Amino acid sequence: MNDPDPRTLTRAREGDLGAFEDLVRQYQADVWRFAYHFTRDRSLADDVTQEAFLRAFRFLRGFRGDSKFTSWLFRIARNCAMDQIKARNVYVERVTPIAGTTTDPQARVELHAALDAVSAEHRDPFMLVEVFGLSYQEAADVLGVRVGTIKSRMHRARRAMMDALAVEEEAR
Amino acid sequence: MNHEQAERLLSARIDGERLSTRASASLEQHLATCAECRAFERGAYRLREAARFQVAPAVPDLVDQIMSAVGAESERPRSGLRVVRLARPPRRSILPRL
Repeated sequence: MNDPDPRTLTRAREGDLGAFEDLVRQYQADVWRFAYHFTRDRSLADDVTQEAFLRAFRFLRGFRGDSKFTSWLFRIARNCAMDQIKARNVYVERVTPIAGTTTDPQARVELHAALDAVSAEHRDPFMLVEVFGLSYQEAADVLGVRVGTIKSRMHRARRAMMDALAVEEEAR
Repeated sequence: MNHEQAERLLSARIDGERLSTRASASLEQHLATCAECRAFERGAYRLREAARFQVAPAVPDLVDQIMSAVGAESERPRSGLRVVRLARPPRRSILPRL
């Protein structure tokens, strides 16, 4: 994801609604996809996305640039997703693969089965790094952990997913 | 170097993390003789391909909805407190008039 234009960010921090709308247009799709990966529910993802941008608007003045803006925004979105899931006491069923086609439908089903086998603690960094292309530092900023922790969890996620897929292979 | 160490280094390398020259050399030496770790590397790239090429769900356009909520938020007073100024009586000198 690209960084926002510094001038847009400055104006948005000063309360310029037009500049804030530019930020919303630039990042809304990414935030929604992120929310959807967390919640696996379109309606929840809509709510999370709106709440995330509302919180970003409220706290943007206090954004000091210690992390990338996108990391800061994703961190807010993750917190919103966690709050929504807790509030609705939702158990996210993760067995149904996303409908669609790939060159290898079997591989698609296997990936989701493998993701289901991994704890949220390991799945979240895997999604951030592999699907959203964040660096270890950016993922660490989003999740509020150290880079070394991301490194460790990425390894464990891959190992757990491969073990789950190996079990799937044996079961066939 | 054992499997766990090799896998951790492989995982980091796959994600673009720089390894020291020494760690890189040790890893290559281990991979040359360890089929299991070579399989881990192949598996990691397969997972990456599956993760990055999964079909993305259709994303709704929420910009108007979001800006409507933000607009309402921006019109709210910053603080919920009302400041009430009390009318003070004029100061009277406590010193007797001379």
